Amino acid sequence: MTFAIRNDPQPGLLHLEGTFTFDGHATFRDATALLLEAGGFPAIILDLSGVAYMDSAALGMLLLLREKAAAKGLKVALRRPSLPVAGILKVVQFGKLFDIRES
Amino acid sequence: MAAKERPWGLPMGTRFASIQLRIFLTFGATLALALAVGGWAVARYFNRMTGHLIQSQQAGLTRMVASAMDGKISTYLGSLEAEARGCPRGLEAGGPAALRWLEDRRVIRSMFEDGTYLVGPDGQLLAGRPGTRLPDGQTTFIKGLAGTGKPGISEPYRSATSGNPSVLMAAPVRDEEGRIQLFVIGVIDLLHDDFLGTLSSQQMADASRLTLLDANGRILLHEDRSRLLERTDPRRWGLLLQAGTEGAGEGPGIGGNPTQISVRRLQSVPWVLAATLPQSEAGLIAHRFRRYLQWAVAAAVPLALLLTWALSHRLTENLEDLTRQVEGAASKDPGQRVHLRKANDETGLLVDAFNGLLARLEDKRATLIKAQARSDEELAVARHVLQRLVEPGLTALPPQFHMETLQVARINGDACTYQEGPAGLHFGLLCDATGHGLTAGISTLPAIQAFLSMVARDVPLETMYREINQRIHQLMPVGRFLCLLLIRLDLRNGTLSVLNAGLPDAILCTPDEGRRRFMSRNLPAGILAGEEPVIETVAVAPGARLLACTDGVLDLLGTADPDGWLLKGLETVPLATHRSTIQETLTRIAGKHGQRDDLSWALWEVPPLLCARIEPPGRTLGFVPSELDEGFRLDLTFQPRHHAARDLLPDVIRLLSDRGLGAREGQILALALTEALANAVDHGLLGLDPDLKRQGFEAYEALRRLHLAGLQKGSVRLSIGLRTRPSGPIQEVVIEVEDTGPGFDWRAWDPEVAGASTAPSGRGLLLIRALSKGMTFNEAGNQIRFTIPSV
Repeated sequence: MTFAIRNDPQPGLLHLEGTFTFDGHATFRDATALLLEAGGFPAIILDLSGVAYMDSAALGMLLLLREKAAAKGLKVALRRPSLPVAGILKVVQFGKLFDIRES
Repeated sequence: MAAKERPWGLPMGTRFASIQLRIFLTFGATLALALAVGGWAVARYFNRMTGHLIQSQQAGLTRMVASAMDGKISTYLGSLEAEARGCPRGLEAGGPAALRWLEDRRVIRSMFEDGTYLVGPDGQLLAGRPGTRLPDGQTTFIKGLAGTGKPGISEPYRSATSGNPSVLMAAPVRDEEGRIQLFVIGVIDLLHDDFLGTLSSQQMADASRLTLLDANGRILLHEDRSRLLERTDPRRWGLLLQAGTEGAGEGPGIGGNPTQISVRRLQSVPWVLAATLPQSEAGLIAHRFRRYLQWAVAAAVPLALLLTWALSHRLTENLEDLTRQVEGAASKDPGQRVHLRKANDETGLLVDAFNGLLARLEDKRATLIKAQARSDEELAVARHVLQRLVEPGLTALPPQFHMETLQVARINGDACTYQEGPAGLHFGLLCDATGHGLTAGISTLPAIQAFLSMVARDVPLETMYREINQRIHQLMPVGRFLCLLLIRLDLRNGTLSVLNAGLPDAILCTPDEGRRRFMSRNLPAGILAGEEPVIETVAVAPGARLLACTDGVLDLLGTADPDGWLLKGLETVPLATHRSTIQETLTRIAGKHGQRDDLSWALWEVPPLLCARIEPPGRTLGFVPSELDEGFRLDLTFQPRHHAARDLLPDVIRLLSDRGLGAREGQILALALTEALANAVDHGLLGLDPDLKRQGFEAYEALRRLHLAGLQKGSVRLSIGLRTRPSGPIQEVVIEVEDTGPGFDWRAWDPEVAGASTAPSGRGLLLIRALSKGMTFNEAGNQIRFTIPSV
């Protein structure tokens, strides 16, 4: 399963699809870099409903994005994680670091 | 006692010969010898030349006096003959005519003052001055002369009146028919001044004498009147007279003294005139000349030596000046240059060449100073790193343990450190790398790092050695290795384990069993890969003392420490005293003889043992046997350099699905395997630091690719077992992932800390732990095992 990111008309919203692993770091970096440069929105929202699963490398990418966004005064929010991903996020206690919402 | 110094800093015993001194000795000696030989030759030549000259003068005088004597004799005899020719015939014996004729012969009467006579052929006296008579014994001479008919001269005889040698001269008077009528006789004293007296007193020198001898060797004329008509010594004159020789030569004089003699025969009579001159007189001039010459040579030799010394100094002063300056340049600032006042000879070329060398030396020195500074800086960094590594352990040493390294100015490769392991365990490391300086310093770093990382996990000494050996073998070039001693003291069960690889014997002294040596039974680390170590483990009781050191200590104290400084009082004295003794001894001897190598030593006294065994906290070690059947097992080993784990996973999951693994379990298994395999490859084999992800995953991936490309060996083993109840569905999946790397300190990993971290790494284990059950590690930390239960 490949990994892809689709922009949403809503500013700051990205739809992630596929398996989010180490191999997707370039795609994730490029997509988020555009958002960080553009700015003009209060938070970067990642829609994880299309992500079948993610590994620890993907978790690391989320944390890096959080740091970069914070440097620009932005927050990162995770939306609609799939069941496996939600389990992973729970295991790593990302709820303390990100605004995670089921809807 | 300070050694005496020779000129130009040459120590005693060094053969030194100044060029000036050699020139002086060579030319001075030659000149002095030439002067002496020349003086001797001149003196000898002058002596011979003056001898010839004196001899020639003596011969000339002799010839002249002999000639004059011949002239006198001829004149006297000729006068008689002239008168005889005018003598009238028929003079009668005793007649007045004969006497008157004689009286009228005033010429011959004045010449022959001792008498003139007319004598018949038979010797009868015809006429003579009154009161005179013909000397006795001369009749025979007259008769003999009558037989010859010629005028003649008698043999000398002693005059009865004067006592002097006298002779008769006779000239015949013949009648008309030629018969001899009578003889006109004249008697003459040889010493008469008008005859030979004055001639005989001629002298060439004060000591020169003339002697006139007749044919019988009687002395006719001589300075000593008492010897007149005395026969001469035939040994002196006989041979000369008999041989009839004339000439000059040397012979014994009166008293046997060497005398120069010149002999001349008279023509008119068979007499010999001899001139004598003592050699002492003849050689007086030569002697004086020789003496003057000696004085001259004696004065000339020192003068010549002085001149030679001055000349040699003049010739070598530039060279000497250059030598002194070059000698001085060795102990002065190389920026100084050599300068000669008058370098107008070859020394000028030497000065230019030497100054050129100094300039190049200065450049090299500047380069060397920079390199030295760089080297010192590098060494300082290495020392700093080394100290940072070992200091925490050494500062945490329990009071019963002592370990230290006395380093020389530059790092020499010694290091020691201590680390407390899990409760009741104590670990020590002494190591000594080959070589000196930075290379030796950095050789110890991987060993200390490996030691410190494994101690906390209570990794067996065998594994520590293998890991250190592997690292040194990989990192260091051939020929570089590390001698080491690993100590593990377990206070839980009272055991001491020692692994000695190339260091001097460690000595354990127990109060009951005496001393035991732990000699080196292993190769130093880094020589052979895969070396299996030998470890000695013994039971120890509290109070037992272990002493270990590096070879620098024995080198300083002498091979095998003959004086036993290390062991003095090992069993008896308190630990603090023993430690102080060793410290003071090493400091004293190093100060006295100079420390050439690092000195590392350890002295441990076993403290009281722990009462109960303490288990490792938290996580478990080892696997719990399962009651389930392992119906299917998949073992897969791959080399990450050639096969990426992500490429293998779909096939593995598919295979397991075909064997009844559910989709949900498959999904969980895929995630867990992804994390476990990523850890095995990235951190276990490639040694990547997870913190690199902070710099971005691009940098991390780039480094990962680089490490992967350089990975020569190393593999990952994946083992998956499907456990089922008999004839039932899959109950659990047991996974083992093992890499060939050194492992990690799994005891230090805390899931609570990992979960709370905001770092972009370190959550793989967290995920595995969350997705599985019974996550365990092997002792080395290079194998993980977990179980995924069926949902």
